[in-house]
Amino acid sequence: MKHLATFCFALAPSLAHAQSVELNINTAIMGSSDVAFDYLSHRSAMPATGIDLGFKVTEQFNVLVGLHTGTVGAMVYSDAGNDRAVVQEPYGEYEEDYPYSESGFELASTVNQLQAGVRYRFDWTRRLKLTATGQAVFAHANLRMDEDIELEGSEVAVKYTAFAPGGLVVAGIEWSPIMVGTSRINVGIEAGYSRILAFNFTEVDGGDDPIEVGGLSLNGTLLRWYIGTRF
Amino acid sequence: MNPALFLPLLAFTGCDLWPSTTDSYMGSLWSTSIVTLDDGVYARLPEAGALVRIGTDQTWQVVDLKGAEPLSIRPDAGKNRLLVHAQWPVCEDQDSAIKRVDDCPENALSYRTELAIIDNGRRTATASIPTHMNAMTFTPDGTTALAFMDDASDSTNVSGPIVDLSEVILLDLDSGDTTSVSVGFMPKNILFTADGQRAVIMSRSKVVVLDLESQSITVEYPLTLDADIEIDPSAAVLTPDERYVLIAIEGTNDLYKLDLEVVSIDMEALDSSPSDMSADPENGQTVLVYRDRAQVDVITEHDFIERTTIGLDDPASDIAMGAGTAVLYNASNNSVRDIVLLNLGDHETTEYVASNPVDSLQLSPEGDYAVATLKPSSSGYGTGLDAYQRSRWGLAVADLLSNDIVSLVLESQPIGLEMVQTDEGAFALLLLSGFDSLIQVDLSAPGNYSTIELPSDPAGIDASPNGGFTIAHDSSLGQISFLDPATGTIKTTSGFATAGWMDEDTLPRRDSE
Repeated sequence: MKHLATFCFALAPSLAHAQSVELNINTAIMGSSDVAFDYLSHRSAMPATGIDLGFKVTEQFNVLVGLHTGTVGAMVYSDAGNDRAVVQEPYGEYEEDYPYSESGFELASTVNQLQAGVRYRFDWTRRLKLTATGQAVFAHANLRMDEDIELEGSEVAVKYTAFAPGGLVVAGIEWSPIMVGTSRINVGIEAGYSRILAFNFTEVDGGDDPIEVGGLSLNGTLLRWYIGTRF
Repeated sequence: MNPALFLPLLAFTGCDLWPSTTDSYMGSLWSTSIVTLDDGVYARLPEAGALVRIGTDQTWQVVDLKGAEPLSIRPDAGKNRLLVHAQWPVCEDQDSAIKRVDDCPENALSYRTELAIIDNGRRTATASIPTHMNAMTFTPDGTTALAFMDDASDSTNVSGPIVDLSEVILLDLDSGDTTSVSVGFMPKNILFTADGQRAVIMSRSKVVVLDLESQSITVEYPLTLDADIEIDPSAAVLTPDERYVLIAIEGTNDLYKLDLEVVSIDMEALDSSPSDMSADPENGQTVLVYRDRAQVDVITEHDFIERTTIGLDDPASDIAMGAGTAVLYNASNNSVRDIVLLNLGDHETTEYVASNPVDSLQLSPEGDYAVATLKPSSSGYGTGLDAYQRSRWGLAVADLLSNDIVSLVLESQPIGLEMVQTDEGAFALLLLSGFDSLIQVDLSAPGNYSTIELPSDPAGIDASPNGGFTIAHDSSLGQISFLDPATGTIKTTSGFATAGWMDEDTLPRRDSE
């Protein structure tokens, strides 16, 4: 956080001379190599949707700040042992054991990210630009478990929250299909790597000392695409 | 700018707060086989490999087992301490980069086991008792446990480079000190004298008397002199004067009488092999029942075995002892519905006939009532209400002070039954599978029951040493209710099963601690 603040202060004088603004709405897929994330998503990926606001600081560089949020979740079934069924056959009936899983709980996590950094643009053609973006990330996550046991007022639900810093580096290509004067509509796609330190979830109401629930890490390939404007 | 240009974003920006497109599977976060002690309720968390102590006021704590995973838990005799069979991983590769269990090379990874003694939420002692020693009995004063392998149990997890199937381990519950004693192959039945000085241990073809103070065998009784013959005791009892041990043998009609004072063995020919035997300290007698004979024998004189045979309408396989009475029932024969009260003073019997065969039976705390859960009858449904009742689970309440018995029909299978005595009388607390209420049956008027609503379906009930009851619920995230039977109030603690379940399996390095 300290480094992020220092970085923003250093760019402040340039912001005063900014001559253009960019505004993007984007969607990203953040991969994770954390095995615990598999409970939430078999694809081991967290989606994130958000908005980026950028200010031109030099001809090629924009300062970029953004807010992003994404949710992923699953229905978790747990082993319930064996049950016994009566099998009816033409010659009679018999009982047979079979393993079964019963509905367990809904599991979900929402990650909100505040991102700040710079985007570099290289003019390839008038409409096509290559981009490279680096952003620091400050993320807030919650982990929710909600047991839908279909009894009014009796369900068990828990929610844990945690904060974690991180960063991302991506490179991509941006196309401007519409250009009117100095304004343009941009469509871009970027890919790279993002890493957010582990969210360490703890139960704080269960006892005098926090009780560890576990950690969740987002670290892996990042793919994002956006549509926006620069003027 | 045309706003329609932003329409494609709708395809990207959908955000469902509870997306349920993924199904995940895992083992249970917690085991509903809880143990209630005076300081709280203990539950295993198999996914997290942890043990939690749960309190009444929505609080819980993870018990520090020094990196070990609890495999099974049990209370001591007085429900003061918890005994935890636990295992922990050991990585012989001392590379400091190995932080998690998965990081350890497979050929360097092994597991060790211990029995941890938990007192008031803290690990106070450990003992080296292998996990296959899955049965435990306690001396009358509760200070010493005898652990042995019970082959009748479903756990056959024999572990260790060398396994002695004839050993019994004496465990000092204060210090965790253990002593191994070889008593004979497959020890299966242990009796203690009331003063806690001696233990009588039965095994295949042999009975030994163990002096608990010197922790040595003082007397050994061979049940056969022919090593080719295997004799397995099926039931045993210490006579009320504690002089003799009576032992029934599977498949024979012989009753072995071991004299603990003048070391000798006598044999008495019975009419069959007893399925259960119980001592009656009030009248100095011993009661024997037979699974295959409609009679009960009462040994009234043990020095020179003198027994009285009382005929029954049907065989009884089990005995529940009251004060000067014995309640006989048959839980192993689905065609027998009789419950018999035997007055051991005058040997008079009172027969009660339940609607269905007995599944289990308990006496009320003051012994005035016998409460039996009844199982569906496998045959002879009949028609009409007979068929309705016999095809369902039931609850029978026999008033042992009169000839009355009431058989109630239950909606589903009972999953928990406890007795409680209050100033207002005796009550049975009953939990039914899939029924989210606790049923409180007034034993003086069984039809007049009341219900206490539970927050969710129950999975089991456990008595607390302080007179309360703990109800484990069928809840994935962990839910336990605490019932005060005096007031009927319930407090519930939920959500404790999530503790540590997403934690990485950190490798404990006990050697470096």
